[in-house]
Amino acid sequence: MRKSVFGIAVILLILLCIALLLAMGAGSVMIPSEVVWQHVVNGFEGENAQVSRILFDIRLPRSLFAAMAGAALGLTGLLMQTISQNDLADPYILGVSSGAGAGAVICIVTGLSTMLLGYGVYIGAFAGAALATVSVLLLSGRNDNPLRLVLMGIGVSAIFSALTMFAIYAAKDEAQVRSAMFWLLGSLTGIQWKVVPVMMISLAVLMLFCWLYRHELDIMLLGSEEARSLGMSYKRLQRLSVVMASVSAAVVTSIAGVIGFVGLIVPHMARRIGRPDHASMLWITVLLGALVMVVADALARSLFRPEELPIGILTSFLGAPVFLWIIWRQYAR
Amino acid sequence: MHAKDILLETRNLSLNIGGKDVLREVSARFSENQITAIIGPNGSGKSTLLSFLTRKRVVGETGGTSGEVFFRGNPLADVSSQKFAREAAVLPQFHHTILDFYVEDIVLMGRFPFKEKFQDYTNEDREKTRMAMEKAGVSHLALRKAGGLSGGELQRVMIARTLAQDTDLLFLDEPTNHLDVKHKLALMHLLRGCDKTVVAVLHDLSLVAQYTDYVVAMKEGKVFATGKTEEVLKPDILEEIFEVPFLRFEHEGKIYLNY
Repeated sequence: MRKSVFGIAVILLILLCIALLLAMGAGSVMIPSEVVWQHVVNGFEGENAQVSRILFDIRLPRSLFAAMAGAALGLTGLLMQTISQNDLADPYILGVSSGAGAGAVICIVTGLSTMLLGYGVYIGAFAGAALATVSVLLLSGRNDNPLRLVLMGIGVSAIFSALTMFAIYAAKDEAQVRSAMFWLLGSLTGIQWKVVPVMMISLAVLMLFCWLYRHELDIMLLGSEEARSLGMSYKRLQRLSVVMASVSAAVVTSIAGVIGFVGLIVPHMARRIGRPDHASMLWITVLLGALVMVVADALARSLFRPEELPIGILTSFLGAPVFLWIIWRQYAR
Repeated sequence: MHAKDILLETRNLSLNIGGKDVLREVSARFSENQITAIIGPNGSGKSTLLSFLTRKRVVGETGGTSGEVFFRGNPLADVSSQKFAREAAVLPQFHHTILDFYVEDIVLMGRFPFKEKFQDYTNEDREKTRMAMEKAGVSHLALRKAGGLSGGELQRVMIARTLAQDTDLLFLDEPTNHLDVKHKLALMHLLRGCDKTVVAVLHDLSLVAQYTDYVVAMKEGKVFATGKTEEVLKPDILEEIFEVPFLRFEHEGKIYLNY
């Protein structure tokens, strides 16, 4: 990590810690940050057992998950932008979200969601995402043209979206439709400790991949021809990156639904405040993604108290103007 | 010329794309530690010939090919692209610019072929990068972003990346593109001064006359003439290739061409 980037990373880390502390206090029951701090220091043992329970069983796993999911979405967004050589790529560009959406909605509508130990929706969503990714990889075949890859992703996405809408249309009762729509919006409601380890492992693997391949990913930006003349096997890295990014996006999406714009804008913001090489981008993107998501989740919980806004709506509302501003600046010429 | 002096050779190399013969039975030799220019009118197959020498196209793998390409006496197809990247650096005619990257990071990429898997760049790599930037005259641009550079500055950055690769063999496709007179001469002077095998596609025949040892002259996909520069750059040969009249005069051992 470069010195200048190191400083930015430290600042972001401090901001992230502050945001986590404040976010833990926010929600239908507001808890002052001193109380949150006391709980953090004392290992979540406090005088008020109910407050301790809210903090440890509900808000801590949820905030940790939000941070890790934000980091993962930022990093997958970065990978997808590198793979596709396109600034407009996001974690879902190769059809992960449509696949996951179709899988989840079909599970909900057919009632499969109640089976499989209650993990039915997660498994359905993940299977759908995997199916979409495999389809894109098979369709792109030996060709290494990134534009072709993206267009294949758009085509596969369209098929799965149609399938999702058909499943919703064919649903038998209102409750199922509501539940399906809610899933599609993206939400961190009901995140429990049991999903935290999966998210943690998935993020760790993704970060390790990005770190090990940081120089290769830089070279990848040169395009297949120049990468090959520098002795890199472009197609192999392209495939590997698609798989890593898709699995990671699929894990987040299976658990929390489609959370838009985080994966698109975070890499853009990171590029502006740090250095554009992948070694630097890795740290800034992870920290910034986590920060953005923790703040967004806190807002989602507290803006319309005691009601909660699905986080996907909020990130789109906040993210779209930021995105427009970035494009406005970047394409000023 | 002894056989051991030949670094690269094509024998009866042909390429047919969609019924059109882009290369026809091209047999050409490229000598070690010499500068060889590939010249010819637009569409005569210069860049295509170069693409076979740089392994961008490979006989057998690329459709419509026949013939052979040898590198150090062995088929070039047998050399892996990673191994070849340690032997040869390529300056493409059109390059992909990563707009928001810093110049020094782009030049550093020239060191990539020498890295083992997952190995980081070392101080030696950074030193070679620094020296390459100095040679190409872009040291002052090191901390600028590629997106803000002029065409000529960018071309020199790409030349620096090629030099950072520090290979014995250099392939340059129209390296003087975008360069002003001063930088054109500086580049050719640099190539003259380094002990490398250089294969360059060049349009500027004055530069060819003054700075190269050998010429491969192409026309309509065929080798029209090949040999020492002073033997090929004769008005009667050039007039047939380029279809315009040429005047040649010599002054203090240098060849000057006028058209």
